[in-house]
Amino acid sequence: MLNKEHNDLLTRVGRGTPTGDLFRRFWWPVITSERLGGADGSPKRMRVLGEDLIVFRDTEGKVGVLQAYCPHRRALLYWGRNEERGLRCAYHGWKFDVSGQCVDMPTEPPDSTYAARLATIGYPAEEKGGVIWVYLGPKDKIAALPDYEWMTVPAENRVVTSFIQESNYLQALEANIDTAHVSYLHSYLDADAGPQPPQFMEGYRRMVNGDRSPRLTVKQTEYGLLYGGRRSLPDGKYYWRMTHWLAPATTQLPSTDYGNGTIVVPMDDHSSMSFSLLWHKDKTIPQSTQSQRRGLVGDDQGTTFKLSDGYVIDHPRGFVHVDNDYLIDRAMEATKFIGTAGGTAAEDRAVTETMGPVPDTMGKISDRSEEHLGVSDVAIVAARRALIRMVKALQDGVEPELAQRGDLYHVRGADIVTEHEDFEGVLTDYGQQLVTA
Amino acid sequence: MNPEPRTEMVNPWHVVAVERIDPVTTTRVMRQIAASDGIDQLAYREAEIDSLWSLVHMAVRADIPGAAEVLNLLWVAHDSVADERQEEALAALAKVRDHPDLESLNRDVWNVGEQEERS
Repeated sequence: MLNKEHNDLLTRVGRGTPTGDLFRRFWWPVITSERLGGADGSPKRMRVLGEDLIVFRDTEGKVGVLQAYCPHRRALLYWGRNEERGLRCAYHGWKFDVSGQCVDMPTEPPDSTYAARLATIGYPAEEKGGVIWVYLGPKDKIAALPDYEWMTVPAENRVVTSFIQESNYLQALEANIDTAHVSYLHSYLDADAGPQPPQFMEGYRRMVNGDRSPRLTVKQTEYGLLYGGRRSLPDGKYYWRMTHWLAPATTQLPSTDYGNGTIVVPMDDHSSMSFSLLWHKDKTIPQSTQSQRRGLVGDDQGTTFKLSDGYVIDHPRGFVHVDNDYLIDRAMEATKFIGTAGGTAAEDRAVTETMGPVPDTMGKISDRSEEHLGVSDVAIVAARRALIRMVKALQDGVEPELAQRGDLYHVRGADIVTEHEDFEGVLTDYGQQLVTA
Repeated sequence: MNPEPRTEMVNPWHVVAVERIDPVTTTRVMRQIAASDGIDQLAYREAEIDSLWSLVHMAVRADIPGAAEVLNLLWVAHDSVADERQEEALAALAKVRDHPDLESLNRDVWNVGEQEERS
């Protein structure tokens, strides 16, 4: 469990909060390139770390990430016209380029130089790996972009999808650092009846159903932590699921040939967005694969979603959510552990979006002071502590070294069958599978 | 007299099976803390104290006398281990171990009491 003070510390991400300050030392995905679209396309409303943002691609293909509100009268720039290398506010026609600089102010006198002296807040933005990244922190502390393997493979070898998580980010992140739940939440009663996820070892379902109480070993690293979940197999060997948590909120999940990861982006204290990553160094991946696996394909997706305070973002909610009980079908539970529709993402969302909340958090922040943890939660315990240490270090004036070390992100998860009972033995023999070039 | 925590022959990677809140289990956890160094091992210690805390929390919910006091001591031990302040954690756990109501906080004990009361 966490005491109330630490729970509050880790879950509040707005500007001026300790964790918000730490998270502003890192780059965050804000939208996929595909969803943003091409030059002079429709601007997109997004939110990251409590900041309302407008993302747009100008005539030359450059990407701008601006504060969402016009500095003139605070009109929402989403209503503006994206044309001729800038975004023009719909209210009075003031126009801003991708850096946020005002480049036209047609309502002011023709001889005025006011426009040149005025800018809206424009955040550093990068486009890499099929994702638009934004940096929201101090300009003199700008981070290195994380150098993930999936960002370097050809576009046809990766699939990046995003989905909304209607809860505080930490609930989503912790689900990704929890191997024990895959033996239940994502399982089929008959292991052979479930689909074989392409990124996992053949027979994965049988192995996680066969031993439902994995023994965990945790190792703190420069980037966060690596942990191994060991399950016993009938032939005396062991199935190890090796997962990395990369601070602040990325997990590289167990996988074989494929890479498999998730970045959880806090939109605000009550909502987040997960970017799900599947890639292969050498093979093309059909773009439908990840969406189907994560259950993101369905009807009634819409194009927008209203956050808890009324701000609208340009991202579909998805066809299963808390308001339709994740389309739970109890008859499905004859074959599947949980009868929700929408695949693994919806299964995770169902349990993590509805956790027992801290009062006055719109039901969106789990009250960890009421948890009763077991030893299978040790990876979550370790990750929380590591994050608290980073937050407190920054409060003491120690900048996170990781933010300047994109090379530390050169890791990938692995699932391994071996005779090794001990974690160090696995690392000795299979360590190369856990790093990337 | 309860044994003091010893560090010899203790494997810090071993996880104590916490099934009761009693002097023996508490002492085992204390031995592990005394032998642990570094944040990896202390994460296991935090998980062990989590389990002790959970048992006592059940007793708090059942209004068992002494439970709230022990729970507060376990909060101190928990947060001290988390901050790598093992000595403070050991001091708090020593008070837990020596608490006069400790045995009565176990569910099997107070369930028996409830059953006797009902009969």
